Amino acid sequence: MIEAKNVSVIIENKTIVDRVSMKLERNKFSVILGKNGAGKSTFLKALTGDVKRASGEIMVEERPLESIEPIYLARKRAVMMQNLSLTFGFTAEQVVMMGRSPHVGGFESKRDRQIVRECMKQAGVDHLSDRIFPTLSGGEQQRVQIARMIAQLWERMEERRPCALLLDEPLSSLDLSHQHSIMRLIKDLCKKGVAVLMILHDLNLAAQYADEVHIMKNGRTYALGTPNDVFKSEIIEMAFDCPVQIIQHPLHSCPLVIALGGQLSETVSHSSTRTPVRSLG
Amino acid sequence: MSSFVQALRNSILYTGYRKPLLVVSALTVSLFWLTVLSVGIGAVTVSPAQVITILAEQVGLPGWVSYEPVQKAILLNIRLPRVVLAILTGAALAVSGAAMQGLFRNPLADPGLIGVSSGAALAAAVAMVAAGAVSAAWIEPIATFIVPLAAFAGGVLATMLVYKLATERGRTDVATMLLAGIAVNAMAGAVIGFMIFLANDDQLRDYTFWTLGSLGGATWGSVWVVLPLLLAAILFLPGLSRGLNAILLGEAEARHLGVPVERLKRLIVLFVGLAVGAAVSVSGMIGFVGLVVPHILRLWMGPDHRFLLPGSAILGGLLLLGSDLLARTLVAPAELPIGVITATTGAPFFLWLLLKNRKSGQFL
Repeated sequence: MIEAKNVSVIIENKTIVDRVSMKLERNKFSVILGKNGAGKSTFLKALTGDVKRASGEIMVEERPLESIEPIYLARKRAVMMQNLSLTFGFTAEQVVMMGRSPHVGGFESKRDRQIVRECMKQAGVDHLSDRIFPTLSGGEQQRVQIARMIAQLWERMEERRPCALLLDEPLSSLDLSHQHSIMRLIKDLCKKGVAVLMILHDLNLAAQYADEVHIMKNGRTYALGTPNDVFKSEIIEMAFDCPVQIIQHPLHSCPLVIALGGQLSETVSHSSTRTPVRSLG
Repeated sequence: MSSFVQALRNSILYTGYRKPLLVVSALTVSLFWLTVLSVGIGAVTVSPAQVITILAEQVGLPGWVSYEPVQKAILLNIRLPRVVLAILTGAALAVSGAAMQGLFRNPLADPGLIGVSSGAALAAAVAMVAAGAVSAAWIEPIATFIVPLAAFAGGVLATMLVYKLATERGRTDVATMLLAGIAVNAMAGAVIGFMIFLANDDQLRDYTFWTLGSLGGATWGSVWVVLPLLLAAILFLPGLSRGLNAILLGEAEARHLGVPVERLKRLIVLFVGLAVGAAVSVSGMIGFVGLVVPHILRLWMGPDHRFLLPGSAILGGLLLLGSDLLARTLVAPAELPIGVITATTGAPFFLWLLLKNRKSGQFL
């Protein structure tokens, strides 16, 4: 669906993203992990065309990203960025309704409103419809945004045509139960044919739900593969500079990462600057 | 217009559109009646029935009451152009203000932010002082046009300057545009100060009154000149409503929703610059309308630009029409500057609305 080939981003003479390649495919749930400043968000912005890339190509359905009209792109690709700052008093329903923008000119029809209601139900925010968006809590706002993403891709999913959902830390303000309900929801979308890319910080959420994990370090791909391939203590320790122990999840067939706290020893963290690129799986 | 019919049809099914449509309809009806009343009030009174008769006969419909010829002459040649200009100017200023607030995602924005008002004021001040200094005979016939022409040119040039300063390789940075606008405003202020220093007492008085605005100079001639520019903003800016709604989420978010953001910015700056430049050139500086009218409407019906922009146009027209009515009748036969009226009637009303809505925290 969307493919990044050797994408590099240079901002103020600093290489933020260094020759990163990635393929988003239908029915595949991809997750990007990495330390703060590893280049995750910048890579995602390069992938959406919001950040100018120094080199590399981005193809959407085999066509260069830049050759596609914004409106057509919006019909098959939804993007949720971090930190939405909406200060004007739209209701939650109106915000979700904006997801219908690429599909409607003028005013929304009854069908659009039904779609919006259904999306809000799926994201568990239908009870917030009439609330003013800026007065919602951070977690509620994130769920409303998720509903907006689903509303934007609704037709594509219904018609089983390719579409992509790109999310930058969509769970950062959610409580434990909502983190899992939203992850399940997105996993379901994925099974319906959506190509998903999500930036996450919670390793165990990634281990449990992702089909593919892409670990970035210093702007480069540090490891890429299935959770079972990538969640090895030496890889995670190097990528995050934090000692961990990895065991099998007692209920699911996925790894479970336990952070041990503390710092890696000097020598170890120095050797990590070599950042070998590993391609697993 | 057709989208409004569509909304009207939808509103039967959907309560969310009901309130904004009600507000817009009520404003439209009020505007119609205030127009009819307003053209009838003055030294020579024309009753609403006579007004409607005269106007109906103008378009070939039968009238039903009698009137004096002088009433018709005054109505058609003196009051009507002034009323039309008041409505169009108010509408253009308010629509421009609403579009600016959306574009800058800042409720404190007003049309003046992109330099158009201060550019116009600067050019007007220069024109007044320069025209006074030239005592040649050739300047007499064009003297009345010099200030409006200069004001329009100054407004448009300042807008272009601000836009160019904020645009790099086809991308306009809204924050830079805001700051560039402030800088251009400050520079214009300095030059205006220098012009005031050079001006004699008469010119100073002219300039001061010009900055307070007046529709006293309205003729059909001036109406026809500015009409296309004002109408362009009033009719085209509401067409950008969807994009403006999306831009409130953020520029990147709007792009992801398929909005051609750069084109949207260009169009808004273009329409606002031309319309406000034209408005200022015929009526001087009329503040307050562009800032406050969109606020009042947001408190009434929420921030959806699809209703906010047409609503702002109508309420802006209404506010300026009412203000002009007071301006020319309160101290008749003299006239108050219209800026005095817009602020003294609008500000307390706005404050009342703010206090009423303070608890719910819905200022925007």
